[in-house]
Amino acid sequence: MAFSLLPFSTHVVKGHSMQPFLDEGDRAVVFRWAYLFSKPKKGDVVVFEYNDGKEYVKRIAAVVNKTEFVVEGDNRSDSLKTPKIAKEQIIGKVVAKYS
Amino acid sequence: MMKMRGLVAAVLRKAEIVVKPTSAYAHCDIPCGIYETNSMTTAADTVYKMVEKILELKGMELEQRNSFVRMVHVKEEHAQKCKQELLILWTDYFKEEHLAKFPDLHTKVWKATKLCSQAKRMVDLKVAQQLKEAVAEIAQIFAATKK
Repeated sequence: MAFSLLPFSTHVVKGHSMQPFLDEGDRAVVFRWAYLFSKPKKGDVVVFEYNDGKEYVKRIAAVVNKTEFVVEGDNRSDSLKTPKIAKEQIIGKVVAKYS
Repeated sequence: MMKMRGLVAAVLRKAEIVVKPTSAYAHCDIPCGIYETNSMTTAADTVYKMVEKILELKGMELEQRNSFVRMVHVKEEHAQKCKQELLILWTDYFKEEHLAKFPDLHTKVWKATKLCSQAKRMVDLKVAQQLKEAVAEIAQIFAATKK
Protein backbone atom coordinates (compact mmCIF):
# COMPACT_ATOMS: atom_id res chain seq x y z
CA MET A 1 0.00 0.00 0.00
CA ALA A 2 1.06 3.59 -0.52
CA PHE A 3 2.64 5.28 2.49
CA SER A 4 0.05 6.88 4.73
CA LEU A 5 0.69 10.12 6.56
CA LEU A 6 -1.67 9.03 9.29
CA PRO A 7 -0.18 6.27 11.46
CA PHE A 8 -3.54 4.87 12.57
CA SER A 9 -6.89 4.15 11.01
CA THR A 10 -10.04 2.50 12.30
CA HIS A 11 -12.10 -0.15 10.54
CA VAL A 12 -15.52 -1.59 11.32
CA VAL A 13 -15.42 -5.37 11.32
CA LYS A 14 -18.05 -6.97 9.10
CA GLY A 15 -18.63 -10.69 9.41
CA HIS A 16 -17.73 -13.52 11.73
CA SER A 17 -14.59 -15.13 10.42
CA MET A 18 -12.32 -13.45 12.98
CA GLN A 19 -14.33 -14.54 16.00
CA PRO A 20 -13.55 -14.74 18.86
CA PHE A 21 -10.71 -12.25 18.31
CA LEU A 22 -12.94 -9.70 16.56
CA ASP A 23 -16.70 -9.72 16.59
CA GLU A 24 -18.98 -8.23 13.98
CA GLY A 25 -19.24 -4.48 14.61
CA ASP A 26 -15.98 -4.23 16.56
CA ARG A 27 -13.69 -1.38 15.63
CA ALA A 28 -10.17 -2.50 14.76
CA VAL A 29 -7.45 0.09 15.28
CA VAL A 30 -4.80 -0.42 12.62
CA PHE A 31 -1.19 0.77 12.86
CA ARG A 32 -0.39 1.64 9.27
CA TRP A 33 3.32 2.12 9.86
CA ALA A 34 3.77 -1.29 11.52
CA TYR A 35 5.65 -2.74 8.57
CA LEU A 36 7.75 0.23 7.53
CA PHE A 37 10.83 -1.23 9.16
CA SER A 38 9.75 -4.76 9.93
CA LYS A 39 8.11 -7.63 8.13
CA PRO A 40 4.69 -9.08 8.73
CA LYS A 41 4.96 -12.32 10.67
CA LYS A 42 2.84 -15.36 11.34
CA GLY A 43 0.14 -14.61 13.89
CA ASP A 44 -0.23 -10.92 13.04
CA VAL A 45 -3.79 -9.76 12.41
CA VAL A 46 -3.73 -7.46 9.40
CA VAL A 47 -6.11 -5.39 7.33
CA PHE A 48 -5.36 -5.75 3.63
CA GLU A 49 -6.83 -4.83 0.31
CA TYR A 50 -7.78 -7.89 -1.66
CA ASN A 51 -7.94 -8.26 -5.44
CA ASP A 52 -11.65 -7.40 -5.43
CA GLY A 53 -10.86 -3.91 -4.10
CA LYS A 54 -12.41 -4.60 -0.68
CA GLU A 55 -10.55 -4.42 2.61
CA TYR A 56 -10.39 -7.56 4.74
CA VAL A 57 -9.15 -8.37 8.21
CA LYS A 58 -7.45 -11.73 8.67
CA ARG A 59 -4.61 -13.41 10.55
CA ILE A 60 -1.35 -14.31 8.83
CA ALA A 61 -1.20 -18.11 8.95
CA ALA A 62 2.07 -18.58 7.08
CA VAL A 63 4.80 -16.73 5.26
CA VAL A 64 5.70 -18.09 1.82
CA ASN A 65 9.04 -17.29 0.16
CA LYS A 66 9.38 -14.28 2.50
CA THR A 67 7.19 -12.21 0.16
CA GLU A 68 3.76 -13.79 0.25
CA PHE A 69 1.45 -14.27 3.17
CA VAL A 70 -1.26 -16.86 3.62
CA VAL A 71 -4.11 -15.31 5.57
CA GLU A 72 -7.12 -16.92 7.17
CA GLY A 73 -9.90 -16.26 9.63
CA ASP A 74 -9.73 -17.47 13.22
CA ASN A 75 -13.19 -18.99 12.88
CA ARG A 76 -12.25 -21.68 10.41
CA SER A 77 -15.07 -24.16 10.97
CA ASP A 78 -16.23 -23.72 7.41
CA SER A 79 -13.16 -22.33 5.74
CA LEU A 80 -12.95 -23.06 2.05
CA LYS A 81 -10.07 -20.98 0.78
CA THR A 82 -7.07 -19.23 2.20
CA PRO A 83 -5.67 -16.66 -0.18
CA LYS A 84 -2.13 -15.41 -0.49
CA ILE A 85 -1.41 -11.71 -0.37
CA ALA A 86 1.67 -9.59 -0.95
CA LYS A 87 3.14 -7.14 1.55
CA GLU A 88 2.05 -4.29 -0.71
CA GLN A 89 -1.57 -5.26 -0.15
CA ILE A 90 -1.29 -4.95 3.64
CA ILE A 91 -2.70 -1.71 5.02
CA GLY A 92 -1.49 -2.28 8.55
CA LYS A 93 -1.51 -4.35 11.68
CA VAL A 94 -4.44 -4.51 14.10
CA VAL A 95 -3.11 -3.25 17.43
CA ALA A 96 -6.26 -2.48 19.40
CA LYS A 97 -10.00 -2.80 19.29
CA TYR A 98 -13.07 -1.17 20.78
CA SER A 99 -16.76 -1.69 20.36
CA MET B 1 -3.85 -6.63 21.45
CA MET B 2 -5.24 -3.84 23.54
CA LYS B 3 -8.99 -3.66 24.12
CA MET B 4 -10.05 -0.07 24.68
CA ARG B 5 -12.91 0.42 27.08
CA GLY B 6 -14.77 3.15 28.91
CA LEU B 7 -13.85 6.73 28.22
CA VAL B 8 -11.24 5.97 25.55
CA ALA B 9 -13.70 3.85 23.57
CA ALA B 10 -16.41 6.50 24.00
CA VAL B 11 -14.08 9.24 22.73
CA LEU B 12 -13.10 7.11 19.74
CA ARG B 13 -16.77 6.47 18.95
CA LYS B 14 -17.40 10.23 19.05
CA ALA B 15 -14.43 10.79 16.77
CA GLU B 16 -16.12 8.57 14.18
CA ILE B 17 -18.50 11.45 13.48
CA VAL B 18 -15.51 13.32 12.01
CA VAL B 19 -13.42 10.43 10.68
CA LYS B 20 -15.63 7.59 9.56
CA PRO B 21 -14.06 4.13 9.92
CA THR B 22 -13.93 2.07 6.75
CA SER B 23 -15.25 -1.48 6.56
CA ALA B 24 -12.86 -4.39 6.97
CA TYR B 25 -14.53 -7.60 5.95
CA ALA B 26 -14.00 -10.53 8.23
CA HIS B 27 -16.71 -12.03 6.16
CA CYS B 28 -15.59 -14.90 4.16
CA ASP B 29 -17.00 -14.83 0.69
CA ILE B 30 -13.68 -14.27 -1.04
CA PRO B 31 -10.97 -15.31 1.39
CA CYS B 32 -12.52 -18.14 3.42
CA GLY B 33 -16.03 -18.99 2.30
CA ILE B 34 -17.39 -19.10 5.84
CA TYR B 35 -21.16 -19.02 5.86
CA GLU B 36 -23.41 -20.29 8.58
CA THR B 37 -27.05 -20.18 9.65
CA ASN B 38 -26.66 -20.38 13.43
CA SER B 39 -26.53 -16.60 13.83
CA MET B 40 -29.80 -15.93 12.02
CA THR B 41 -31.50 -18.85 13.78
CA THR B 42 -30.41 -17.58 17.19
CA ALA B 43 -31.51 -14.06 16.25
CA ALA B 44 -34.97 -15.28 15.17
CA ASP B 45 -35.29 -17.37 18.36
CA THR B 46 -34.34 -14.30 20.42
CA VAL B 47 -37.01 -12.21 18.68
CA TYR B 48 -39.60 -14.87 19.53
CA LYS B 49 -38.45 -15.06 23.14
CA MET B 50 -38.57 -11.27 23.54
CA VAL B 51 -42.11 -11.06 22.14
CA GLU B 52 -43.13 -13.80 24.55
CA LYS B 53 -41.56 -11.96 27.47
CA ILE B 54 -43.07 -8.61 26.48
CA LEU B 55 -46.53 -10.16 26.33
CA GLU B 56 -46.01 -11.72 29.76
CA LEU B 57 -45.07 -8.38 31.36
CA LYS B 58 -47.51 -7.13 33.94
CA GLY B 59 -47.73 -3.78 35.72
CA MET B 60 -46.27 -0.39 34.91
CA GLU B 61 -43.86 0.00 37.78
CA LEU B 62 -40.40 1.36 37.09
CA GLU B 63 -38.90 -2.11 37.04
CA GLN B 64 -41.44 -3.39 34.50
CA ARG B 65 -41.03 -0.31 32.34
CA ASN B 66 -37.27 -0.79 32.40
CA SER B 67 -37.65 -4.46 31.43
CA PHE B 68 -40.08 -3.51 28.66
CA VAL B 69 -37.64 -1.04 27.10
CA ARG B 70 -34.80 -3.53 27.33
CA MET B 71 -36.85 -6.30 25.74
CA VAL B 72 -37.99 -4.08 22.89
CA HIS B 73 -34.39 -3.04 22.34
CA VAL B 74 -33.19 -6.66 22.18
CA LYS B 75 -36.09 -7.59 19.86
CA GLU B 76 -35.20 -4.69 17.55
CA GLU B 77 -31.50 -5.53 17.58
CA HIS B 78 -31.97 -9.23 16.82
CA ALA B 79 -34.59 -8.70 14.14
CA GLN B 80 -32.08 -6.44 12.39
CA LYS B 81 -29.28 -8.96 12.90
CA CYS B 82 -31.49 -11.70 11.47
CA LYS B 83 -32.17 -9.55 8.41
CA GLN B 84 -28.47 -8.87 7.93
CA GLU B 85 -27.59 -12.54 8.17
CA LEU B 86 -30.28 -13.44 5.65
CA LEU B 87 -29.05 -10.80 3.26
CA ILE B 88 -25.45 -12.00 3.55
CA LEU B 89 -26.52 -15.49 2.52
CA TRP B 90 -28.72 -14.13 -0.23
CA THR B 91 -26.23 -11.75 -1.78
CA ASP B 92 -22.96 -13.55 -1.10
CA TYR B 93 -23.58 -17.27 -0.69
CA PHE B 94 -26.49 -18.41 -2.83
CA LYS B 95 -25.55 -18.88 -6.47
CA GLU B 96 -27.30 -19.61 -9.76
CA GLU B 97 -27.00 -23.37 -9.25
CA HIS B 98 -28.80 -23.08 -5.90
CA LEU B 99 -31.58 -21.09 -7.55
CA ALA B 100 -31.97 -23.76 -10.19
CA LYS B 101 -32.49 -26.30 -7.44
CA PHE B 102 -34.65 -24.02 -5.26
CA PRO B 103 -36.50 -21.71 -7.70
CA ASP B 104 -38.51 -19.99 -4.97
CA LEU B 105 -35.39 -19.05 -3.00
CA HIS B 106 -35.64 -15.34 -3.86
CA THR B 107 -39.24 -15.21 -2.66
CA LYS B 108 -38.44 -17.11 0.52
CA VAL B 109 -35.55 -14.79 1.45
CA TRP B 110 -37.53 -11.71 0.52
CA LYS B 111 -40.48 -12.83 2.68
CA ALA B 112 -38.17 -13.70 5.57
CA THR B 113 -36.54 -10.25 5.50
CA LYS B 114 -40.00 -8.67 5.39
CA LEU B 115 -40.88 -10.69 8.49
CA CYS B 116 -37.79 -9.23 10.21
CA SER B 117 -39.17 -5.74 9.56
CA GLN B 118 -42.60 -6.78 10.77
CA ALA B 119 -41.11 -8.29 13.90
CA LYS B 120 -39.45 -4.96 14.64
CA ARG B 121 -42.62 -2.99 14.05
CA MET B 122 -44.99 -5.25 15.97
CA VAL B 123 -45.28 -7.28 19.15
CA ASP B 124 -46.95 -10.29 17.62
CA LEU B 125 -46.17 -13.86 18.56
CA LYS B 126 -47.61 -15.10 15.27
CA VAL B 127 -45.19 -12.94 13.28
CA ALA B 128 -42.28 -14.05 15.47
CA GLN B 129 -43.26 -17.68 14.88
CA GLN B 130 -43.49 -17.12 11.12
CA LEU B 131 -40.03 -15.57 11.21
CA LYS B 132 -38.62 -18.59 13.03
CA GLU B 133 -40.18 -20.93 10.47
CA ALA B 134 -39.00 -18.86 7.49
CA VAL B 135 -35.46 -18.77 8.85
CA ALA B 136 -35.51 -22.51 9.58
CA GLU B 137 -36.62 -23.18 6.02
CA ILE B 138 -33.76 -21.11 4.57
CA ALA B 139 -31.35 -22.84 6.94
CA GLN B 140 -32.57 -26.17 5.57
CA ILE B 141 -31.99 -24.99 2.00
CA PHE B 142 -28.52 -23.82 3.00
CA ALA B 143 -27.78 -27.24 4.54
CA ALA B 144 -29.06 -28.96 1.39
CA THR B 145 -26.66 -26.93 -0.78
CA LYS B 146 -23.78 -28.15 1.35
CA LYS B 147 -24.46 -31.82 0.60
